[in-house]
Amino acid sequence: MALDRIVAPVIKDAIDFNIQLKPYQKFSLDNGVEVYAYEGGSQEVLLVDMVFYAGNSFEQKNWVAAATNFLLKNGTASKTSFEITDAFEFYGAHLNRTCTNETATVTLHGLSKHFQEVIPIMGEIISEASFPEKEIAILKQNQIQRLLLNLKKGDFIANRLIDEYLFGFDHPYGKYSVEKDYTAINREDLVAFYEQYYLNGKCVIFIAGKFPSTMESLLNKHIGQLPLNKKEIKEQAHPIISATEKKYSIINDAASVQGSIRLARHFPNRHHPDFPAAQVLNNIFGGFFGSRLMSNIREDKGYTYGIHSYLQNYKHAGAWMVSTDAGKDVCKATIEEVYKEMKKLREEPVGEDELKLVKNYMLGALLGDLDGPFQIISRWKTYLLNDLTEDYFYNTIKVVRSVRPEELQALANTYLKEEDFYELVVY
Amino acid sequence: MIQFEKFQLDNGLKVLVHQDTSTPMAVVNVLYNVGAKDEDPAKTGFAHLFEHLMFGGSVNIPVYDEPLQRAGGENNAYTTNDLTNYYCQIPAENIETAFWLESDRMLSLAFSKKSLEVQRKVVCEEFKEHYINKPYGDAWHKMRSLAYTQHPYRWMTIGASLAHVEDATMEDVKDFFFQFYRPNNAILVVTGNVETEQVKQLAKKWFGPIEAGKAYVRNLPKEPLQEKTRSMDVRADVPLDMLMMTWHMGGRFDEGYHATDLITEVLG
Amino acid sequence: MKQIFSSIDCYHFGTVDPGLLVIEGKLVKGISMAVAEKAVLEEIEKIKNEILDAKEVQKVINKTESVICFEDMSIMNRAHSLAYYELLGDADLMNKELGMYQRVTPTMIQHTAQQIFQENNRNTLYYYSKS
Repeated sequence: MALDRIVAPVIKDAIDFNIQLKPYQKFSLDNGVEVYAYEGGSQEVLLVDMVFYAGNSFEQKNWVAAATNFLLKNGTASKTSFEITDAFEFYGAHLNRTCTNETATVTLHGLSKHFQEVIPIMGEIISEASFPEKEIAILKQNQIQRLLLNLKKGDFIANRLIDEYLFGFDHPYGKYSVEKDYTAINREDLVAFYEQYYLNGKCVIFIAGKFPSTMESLLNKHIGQLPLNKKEIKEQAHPIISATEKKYSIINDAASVQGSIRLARHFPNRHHPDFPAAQVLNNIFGGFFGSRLMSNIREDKGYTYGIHSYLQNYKHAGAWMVSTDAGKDVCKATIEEVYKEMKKLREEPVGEDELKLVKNYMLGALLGDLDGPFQIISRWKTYLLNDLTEDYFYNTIKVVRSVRPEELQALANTYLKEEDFYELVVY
Repeated sequence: MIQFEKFQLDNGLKVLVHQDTSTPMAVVNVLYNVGAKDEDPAKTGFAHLFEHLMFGGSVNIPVYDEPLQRAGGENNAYTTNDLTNYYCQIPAENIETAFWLESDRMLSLAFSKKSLEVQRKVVCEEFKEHYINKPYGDAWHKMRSLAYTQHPYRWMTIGASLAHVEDATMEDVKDFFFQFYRPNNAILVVTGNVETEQVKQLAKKWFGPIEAGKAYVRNLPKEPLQEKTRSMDVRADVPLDMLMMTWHMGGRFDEGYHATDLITEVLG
Repeated sequence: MKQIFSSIDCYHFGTVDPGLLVIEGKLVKGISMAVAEKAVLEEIEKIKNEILDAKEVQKVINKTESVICFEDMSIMNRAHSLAYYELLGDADLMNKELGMYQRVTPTMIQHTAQQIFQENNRNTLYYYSKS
């Protein structure tokens, strides 16, 4: 029988796949620090992610949390910054730091066989960080240089301002640093923050990959004896003070040929019952390459290279965001089209065909996102740090599979209304 | 150790299978043994232009992206001086969709006039954005022609000039396809949650019927030993001065290759 | 180097046929091209004339091993690598690659450096800012 190349082979819809989230193992160190582990993969590599409750929601002065986090690696009582970096590199390892709102992390990626040589250095960084004045000075200088360069970019400014309008400048989700914040920091600020939130801090650890048989005992020896989790570190409450004015147009660079557009409204966090269905609505609206916003504003009108909508998720709050950089003379028209697409979703239910494509796309993407030990532990980390369980995972899949056009239309009528959105263009 | 099995179809297509049951996904990768170095010096930029044309529809399938998305997959491609590589990742259960798509575009492209016109424009925009509009964008163009006098590495993958891309005709494109995009000039690799027997069946079914082309025998001019140091001055509207130095090194099979690689790590 | 270049990189083409080893850097404002060039050439002389510490060589071999292991985590990268090594003639070369690195000694590095970093083998682009 001749081969039929015209008809696509039969596929199994991603919505019919049996998608599982594999469980973690858990153990505690002597000092009470909990370790969540996922062992797997074929490569002899591992990751150790130490999460401290040391984010910017705990700082008294702007930028202290981020600076402390960055400089942990830049010198200890017995090693210089160079010696520390050299030691990690010698063993084929790499140390990353990040600082967000509630938490700040110190993450190791490396070869499993050299874990016993690098974990002591990691322990040393947590317990003996020395914050040399020279390193502080270099960091300040680099930050100021980088900021001056970034302040020329419209998209950088837009990202800062939209968060400020939503949450207020004093809120961890809305604040940002300016040059005087960098110069105002001194070594005492950093040492005090370090002692409270790292040395005597609250910590939880996530590990994944292939572990040496001595993994647990090594972690216990080098991290499990530190004075962590002894004092209570209470999450601070910060009031959200949103801007009263809703529409903004700012000229940052008169010669710019583009405008950075941000439209945003408040949206609840992952615990809200509307959240899973809103993810489906978001994908249809502007969440992937075939979305309403992309098809209209990029493919049809050519106003921009890319336009996206997404749910910005924090632990205690969130936002529904639309973001794009468009030609200067079509910014107003772009915003009008975005509102038009919102109106369409409010007035017309999504077609069955389109809904099915988006459901398959979402679940196919989810499947691809569970592809290895690092991805799996990363998903568990998000859940655990946001007080979610695996119910959230399976419930989301259930909602994605079953949500009907009428439900999405109702959601659009609740959340996708022009008057509820902050509107910002930065030229 | 990465375990794999290898077999070859009658039409010359080499097939490799690497099984990994820990993942729900599969990857279908088609590598064509053609790169920028194989181009006619008067018609450069073809291998890369071709990579774009491969997404403009094949003889039986007008659109590549949508059927793949429906099946929960994603894809990409890249071209270098040495090779052109196409790959897609898809839930293993839908792997036949990838075989259908990849084999059809090896069989023949749609060769639509519109596709050629659009992709010519897109590549020209890419040329402008990366090599004309960007600061230091022309540096490699100049360095390559300084360092290489004979060997095809003297031109960039995107093309030696915008004109070569703008002047590409449908005839040129068809000739290029039937010379290089043949099963006997390609390597198919499938990795992920698959069985060798399954891949064998699918390969025979979808790629088997494609006829082999004329064997491609590479015979490129060798770069003669450089006898004197060379340099060039450039002046442009850029924020900082830049210094770029290059030295000729050995090829992939040269006994000093790995040492050279480590030298760049030590100096870097 | 930090006072002369605001950023500097060293890498090579990675091509099948003989490629180029590259050193490129952006000069700190106020530093002359001559000073920058001299600084780079001094580093080159060092690696030609001084045998590297065994520990230094072991470090870059370990870094390479780490890169290979992390790359091989994904089935996508494994597919790319298998295809590439098969193109070179034998997909199994993929499994021999780390061994090739582990066999490199400080002497081999010095010998290779002396071969490559010869003055008549050099090509230089002096890219000046108009401002």
